[in-house]
Amino acid sequence: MYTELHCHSAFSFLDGASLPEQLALTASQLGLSALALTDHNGLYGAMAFAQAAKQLGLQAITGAELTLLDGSHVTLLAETPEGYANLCRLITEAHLGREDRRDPRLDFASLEARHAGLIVMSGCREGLLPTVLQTHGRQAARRLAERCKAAFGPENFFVELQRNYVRGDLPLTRALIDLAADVGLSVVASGNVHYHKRERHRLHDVLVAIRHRTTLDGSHHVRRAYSEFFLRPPQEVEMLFGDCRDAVANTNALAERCRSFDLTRDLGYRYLAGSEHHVLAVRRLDEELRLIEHHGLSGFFLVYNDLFDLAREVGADVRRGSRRARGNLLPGRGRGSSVSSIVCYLLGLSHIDPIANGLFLGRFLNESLASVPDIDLDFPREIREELIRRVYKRYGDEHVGLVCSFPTYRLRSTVREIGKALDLPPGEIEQVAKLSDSRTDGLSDEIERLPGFAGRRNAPLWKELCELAEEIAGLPRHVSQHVGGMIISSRPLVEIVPLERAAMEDRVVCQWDKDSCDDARFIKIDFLALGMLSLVEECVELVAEREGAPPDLSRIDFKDPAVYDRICRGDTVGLFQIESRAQIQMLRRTRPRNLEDLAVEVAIVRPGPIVGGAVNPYVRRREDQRRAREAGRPYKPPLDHPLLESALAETLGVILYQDQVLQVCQALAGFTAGQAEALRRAMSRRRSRELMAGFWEEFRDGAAARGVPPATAERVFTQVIAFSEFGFPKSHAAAFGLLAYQSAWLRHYHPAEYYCALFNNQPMGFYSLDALGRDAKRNGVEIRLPDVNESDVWCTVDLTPFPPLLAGEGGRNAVRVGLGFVRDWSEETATAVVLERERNGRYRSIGDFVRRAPPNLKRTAIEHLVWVGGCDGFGLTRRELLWQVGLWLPPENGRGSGGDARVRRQLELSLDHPYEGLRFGDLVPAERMLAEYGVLGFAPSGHPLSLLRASLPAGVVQSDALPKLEHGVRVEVAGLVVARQRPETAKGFVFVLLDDVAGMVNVIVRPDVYDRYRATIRGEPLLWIAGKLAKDDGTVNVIAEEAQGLKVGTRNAERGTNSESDSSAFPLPHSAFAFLKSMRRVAPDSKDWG
Amino acid sequence: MREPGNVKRVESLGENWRMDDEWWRQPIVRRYVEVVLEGGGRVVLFEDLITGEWFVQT
Repeated sequence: MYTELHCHSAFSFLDGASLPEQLALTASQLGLSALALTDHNGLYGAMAFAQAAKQLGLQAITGAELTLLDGSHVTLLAETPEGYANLCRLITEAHLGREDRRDPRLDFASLEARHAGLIVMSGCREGLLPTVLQTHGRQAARRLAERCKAAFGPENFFVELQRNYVRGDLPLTRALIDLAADVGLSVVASGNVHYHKRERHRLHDVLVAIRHRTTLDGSHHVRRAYSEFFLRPPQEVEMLFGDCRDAVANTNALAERCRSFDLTRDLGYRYLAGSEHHVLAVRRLDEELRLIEHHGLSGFFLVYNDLFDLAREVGADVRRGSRRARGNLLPGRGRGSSVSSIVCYLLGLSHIDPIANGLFLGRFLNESLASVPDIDLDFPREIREELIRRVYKRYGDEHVGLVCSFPTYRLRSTVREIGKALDLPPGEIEQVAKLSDSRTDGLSDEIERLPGFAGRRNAPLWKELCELAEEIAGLPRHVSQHVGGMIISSRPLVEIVPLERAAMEDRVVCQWDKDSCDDARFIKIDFLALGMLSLVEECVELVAEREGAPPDLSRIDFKDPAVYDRICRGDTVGLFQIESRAQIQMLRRTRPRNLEDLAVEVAIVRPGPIVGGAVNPYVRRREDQRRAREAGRPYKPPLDHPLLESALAETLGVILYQDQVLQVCQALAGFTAGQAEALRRAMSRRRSRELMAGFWEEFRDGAAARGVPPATAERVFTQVIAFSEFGFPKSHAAAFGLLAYQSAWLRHYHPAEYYCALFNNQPMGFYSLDALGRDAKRNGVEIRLPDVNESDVWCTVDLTPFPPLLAGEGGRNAVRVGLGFVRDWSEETATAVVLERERNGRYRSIGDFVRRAPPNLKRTAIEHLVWVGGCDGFGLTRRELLWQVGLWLPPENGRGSGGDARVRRQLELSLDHPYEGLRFGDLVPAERMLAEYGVLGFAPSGHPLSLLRASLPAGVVQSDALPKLEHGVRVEVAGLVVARQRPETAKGFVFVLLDDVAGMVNVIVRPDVYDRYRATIRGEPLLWIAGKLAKDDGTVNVIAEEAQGLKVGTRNAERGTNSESDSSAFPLPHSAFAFLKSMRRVAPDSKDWG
Repeated sequence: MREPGNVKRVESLGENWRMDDEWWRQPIVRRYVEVVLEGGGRVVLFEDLITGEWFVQT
């Protein structure tokens, strides 16, 4: 019987066309009892493969095919735990020991020095022995074989024979057999598998073309023109090696030897010894400590305690000298299910009292825990960066690694890469890539719907594109870094999993993703950078600067009606977690009044509750509850079954939190702790829907035993498996709800500081700077243009008196945009300009500024500052300033070597220039606004529609007028597109958020309307929409019936427009038409999803 | 093996191999076999696995 010992999965990136799970399943179906996974230079898929194989009763052999310095290959199999550790070290050396991180190679001498516990096979056609045999002849090959025999021992080194119906296989394998016999070595057969079934050879061909950045036609010399590298039935292999039965028999013998190492069992990852500092105080603590001890997790918590101490040190160091150092700020905060643990609370790892908040422990710690619990920590960005560096120092480079992730192909990249390999016209490929929805039934249907592509799906090459796009979906594309996961190990990590260099300097990643790390029971610490925490840090610092003392955010009034009133109005743009279009709609309907309500808000607009059908019932019941309260009546929410009362009463009978999924299964179907734990794990993994659906029979039987009608059980189970989609545990929602409130409180009481910090901490959240700037203005905070004598490097709170924006406001509430926001300015040049000003006084004129500015500040950068009014203070018009810049500095493309030219020109600056005094008129408002969009990406001076007001189509209604109109009337609206969303959960509906002068308009596009106006809705920056007004309990939407790019007259109708012939940096629009045309070019990108 | 006006006996079969290529255009799927003819001559024959026809590789 044959065992396959040489097999590549898709984790041999771009050289394997099947997932490890597919290979394991096929091997099992073919009747193989064992299979080795031997990806190129990595164990990326090894854990997933071992876990999948275990489920199938298949022996998983862990191995890898390593590339040696000369480019030849060698196949290694882990026979023992020591062999596995050596394999990890060798792979790590191949990665970390190279200049080019994308070209891992191993010195053969390293393999000779570290081979204990490894079985070494001589490799494929490009392997160690075949390469030498074919290039240097038999004598050289014999010498090498003897060296291998001496180094590894004849029982550990095998001459590998591959027969894949490739021309030349027969003479090569016969020569290798003779060589082995001469030297006294054994032979072993292998299949060099690259895909689980023959049909996948097409995808493999495409992957090879992608790897070589060429087309299928252009890849003939690097591609195998064969389809024989699939997982072959063992009988067929036995036939192929009929003349060399030893080679087949040895596959089994080696598989048997490899039984002494099982990756799911023998990894050798240990936790530190238990703590002697157990504090027994309350029942919950007793329970947690008992569970911690039961699962041997004491060391796990000690590591966290140690880490959080380290984080405190880092936080203190980072904040040292700042005013916020006295603000009682935590170095970071817990998120996720760990917030439900009192141990985490007492250790400082979470900031929410789990008892007071009624947080369910089971999702974090329970009796049957099958994997290590997750503790996720959020930090401000700068603290996180420093903390990661210190963790390496504290534990040592060999004991720490970042978790990796494997980005998979998305529709756009699939279309582009396969399209290129198939040599389809690049223009058409780009069109398909740009206009295709990622949420689609299949590329084939999508292409059929695209304008100009009807009928293509069956055309040659396009048909192949559609088929291959489906096959490639879900395959890993490359190795990336997980957002924040770090592994810490007491045993050198490098013996447990291979490490390699990350794209970011000085960081290494391990070759396993979070699921594999979870399977390995690693302590994975999630250090996440949370932009909002950085924002809060900065905001607190700014408040402290103005008021002398920082606010203590742990002691603010958490029931402040003024803050909740604004939240209930949906005035939440720029706040944490409750700012999106959908969140705003929800807030207006559910009207949160306390932190618990805010936790619901944070959790409810998520795929889990949405797919589970929880949202509308919750909103209706919340309204019923409110009415009942107002009428002084008690309110009891309806439940699918009385058994659900304890689990679902607090969320009005629906499942909103992940923890409730487990509670429901326990209450309704009598799940044991073990079943609940298995379900918990299934919920958080890849392909969670299939895994969770696998619990149906247990659920049905358990519910029946408790007398639950089958229809009820089925209905509830549908809600349960909806949580295979993303959902929050209550603890996480509580932690985020608190931060949402703190952000709302800061914005309410310290608006200028809040918007200033919001600008400085972009990108974050749902809105562009343009939309945030206008929201600031609506809330009484002026966003002032950058100024060479007023601005700092980044935004600052501007206390300079200024005419009030709104009656009674303004003056104090202003943010000055920093010089670093100007196009072509860097942090370095902006800092130099500010330092020069601080050292030698304000800039007195444009000539003075040009002379004193740092040499690396280019003329275009100076001009950009002038265009947006940064030099208006010199008392000249912007055209005059631009003219003078041109006098002092020649055009950049005519300057030769920049540095010298600048010095030469600088000498002239002290002299009066004869043309210095020429007078020019100033920019008109439209020109100013276009310049702001072009230079800053946002327009502090106003909204583009304010300049078009007179030219807009007659029927257009402004957003502030919509609430006063009747439900169901036909309306026309127009605005700048802020966001476009096509959520997977919305059944083809598209949501577009438009921003007009007065505020935002929410447009809902039905699937049939979307199909009609697809290109317009996906691509136009300024939209005109006609449709019906829908008003429902505080929400106002426009249900679109027609859509087009905004139009204001025609070019022919308006004389004097000649933007195309204008050679200046920003065309001079003299008409609404020309302005709109230019706006389409410079409009900020909307935030698009789906 | 028969060729017009020339019939030779096959002495032995040598290596056989397979090719799958150009599937994105005009698929080529062939099974090749190396044949030793009486008198020592060697030819390569292939079967077009799409049409089932046999050819002599020239």
